[in-house]
Order: sequence, then structure tokens, then C-alpha cells
Amino acid sequence: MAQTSDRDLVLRARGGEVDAFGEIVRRYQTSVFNVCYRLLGERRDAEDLAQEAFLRAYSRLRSYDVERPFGPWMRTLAARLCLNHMERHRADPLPLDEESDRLAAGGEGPEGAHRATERSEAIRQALLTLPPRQRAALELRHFGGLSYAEIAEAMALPLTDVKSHLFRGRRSLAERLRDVV
Amino acid sequence: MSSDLEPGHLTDEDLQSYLDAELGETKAGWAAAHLRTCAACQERATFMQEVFQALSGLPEVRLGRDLTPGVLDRIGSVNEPSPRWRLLVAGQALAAVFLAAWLGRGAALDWISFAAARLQAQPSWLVEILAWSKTGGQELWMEAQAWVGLGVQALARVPEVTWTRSLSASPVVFGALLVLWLGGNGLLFIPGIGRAGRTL
Repeated sequence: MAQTSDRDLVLRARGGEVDAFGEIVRRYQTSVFNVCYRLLGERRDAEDLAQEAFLRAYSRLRSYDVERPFGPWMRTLAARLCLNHMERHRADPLPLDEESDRLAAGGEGPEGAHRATERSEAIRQALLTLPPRQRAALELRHFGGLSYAEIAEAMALPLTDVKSHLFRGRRSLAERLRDVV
Repeated sequence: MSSDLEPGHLTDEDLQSYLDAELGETKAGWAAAHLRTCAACQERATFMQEVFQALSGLPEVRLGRDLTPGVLDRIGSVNEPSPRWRLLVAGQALAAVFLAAWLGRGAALDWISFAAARLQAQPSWLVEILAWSKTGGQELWMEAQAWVGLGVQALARVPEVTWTRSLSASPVVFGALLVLWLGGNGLLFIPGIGRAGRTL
């Protein structure tokens, strides 16, 4: 039996079928949670913000263009919500000493999976050291696949600022990940 | 990754824009041609591409719990009108009933008398009920008049509408006003209007 399309689910949810929106949540909750987790670094906060993102999406279903893919729209909304959360709570980047301890905690171990896990953890921690806007810009570019112009619209920033955030964020990451990449 | 490059090399920003396919056509053409011949820029581009791939290849983390029940529960509470909105609607309903009664009190008594006269041949208990209704209704109208009159005096003067039994349109007018009022207040219950989360 063919799976119901996102478009049909959204139209049904607009018509008041809450269960249709529940199916949308089930489909996208993991990817939305990961957007929040990459940006916030805390599992509980990420779950809470992911839930808030779905509630906000529900309240904005009528303004959503059903001809556009739902996933990118949903993840962009979540990223914007997380950015507002970070700026409101003035999330500070992790101190370098703390970051070094985390990276050093991996220790020796078997090759392959352990190294891949360490690498992933190093990348995550490096992302969390970035200021909120750089983090959000990288999230939308590398995980959301948005163009510079789309990122500028999503973050309500001039194009030049977006380029600056991406450039500086990547430069910082490159310096931190030189031994990992 | 140094930006202190000799003239003629790709800046870090241009290199990243090139890798993002966000450089203009002319500049992108120059960048591609330069990368074919410049080993230093090639090395920088290769490293930056590896950083891009490391980011994009970051695996997803498993979600520990299903968020669906929590989301659906909160949607349910958001869709219900808040208590304040309910009170507002109830208050409007009462005010509308009193206003309609005030405007049509003459016609209402007229209709009661008319109905009583037409039903005089009917069972006595019915006649008694109708007669009581007229008497009781008159007393109720007088009481309501005292209260409503006070309120009306505080607002703009409400003219007394003289209706007669021959005006068969009066029920239609009242009915139309009632429908309009119900329709207008019914809009409050559309999702997004009068929600519990909104401040009244």
C-alpha cells in the first residue's frame, strides 16, 4: 500500500485531522530532533525544541506552500527556533579546555567504529564551540541544503552576513578539525 | 588555512563560495581554471571539501522517545477556546437576548395575547398556562426593563421599536440578527482564533 504523501497529510491536517499531523510528526521527528541536537548539544533541550517546532509548524500550516517539500521547510523552522532559543539564553561556546578534555577522553580503542565515533563526536563538539549564528548558518547549509539566499531569508539576515557567518564558522571548524578530518 | 595569500590566488571566502556553487558564472570560471594550475589552492580546496564532507556525513543520533503524543496533546489544548473566550461568548449571548427582549417586548406581549385569544377554545390548562405566561411575562418584562433601562441610559439611547402583529417580518428580522450574531461568534472557535494560548 503506497504511503500517503506529505502533501496529502498536510492538507488533511489543515482540514482538522489531527491524526494526519501526528503521522507527519512520526515521519520527521528524528530529523528535526537531530537539527536541534546539533545546534543545542543537549538531548533534553533538543527534544523540547523539536516538540515546539512541530507545534509552531502546526500553527503555520495554512501559510505553508504544499507544492514545496515539507522536510526542508520543517527543518528550517526548527533551526530558526533553536537559533532564537540560543540567542535568548545567550548560549556561550564551550571553553576550549573543556573541549580538549572531551576530545581526549576517547583514549585508545579498536579501529573502525570507535574512530568513526570519536570523529563524529569531535565534529559535534567543534560545532558547539561556534557562536549561535555561525552554527545555524552551517546547519542550514550543510544539513538543510539551503542556498545562501535561502539561508539569508530563513535567518532574516543580509546575504553578506550569511557569507561571513559561513566563512568564519568553517574556518574555525577547519582549524579545530585539522587533525580529525 | 591562511588568508595571507599572494595576489592571484583564491581567497578562502571565494574558495568556499566556489565549492558551494555560489560564485557568479564569470568568477566561477576563473576559479576553476586557477584550481587546475595552482597546487596550493588545490590543496586548500581539497581540505575544505573534506571539512564539508565531514559535516554533511555526520550521522544522525537516535531519538530516545516518541514526540508524537506530547505534540498531539498540546495541539488539542491549543484548539480549545480559552475560558475567557467562553465567558465572552456567553456574555454576548445574554446581552443579545436582553437586547432582543428589550426591543421586541411590545411584539412579544402582543403575540402572547394573540395566541391566548386564538387558543381560548383549547383545553383550560393550556389557556391557564398562556394567561400565566402573559401575566408572569409582564412582570418579568417590567423587572428586566428596570435593569436594562439603566444600562441603556448609560449607553446611546435605544429607540423603542413599535412592532405590530401584522409585521410578519419581525421574527425574520430577529432571526436574521441572531444568525449573524451566532456566525460572528462562531468565528472565534475556528483554530487560531480565541485559542487558549492567546492573551485576551
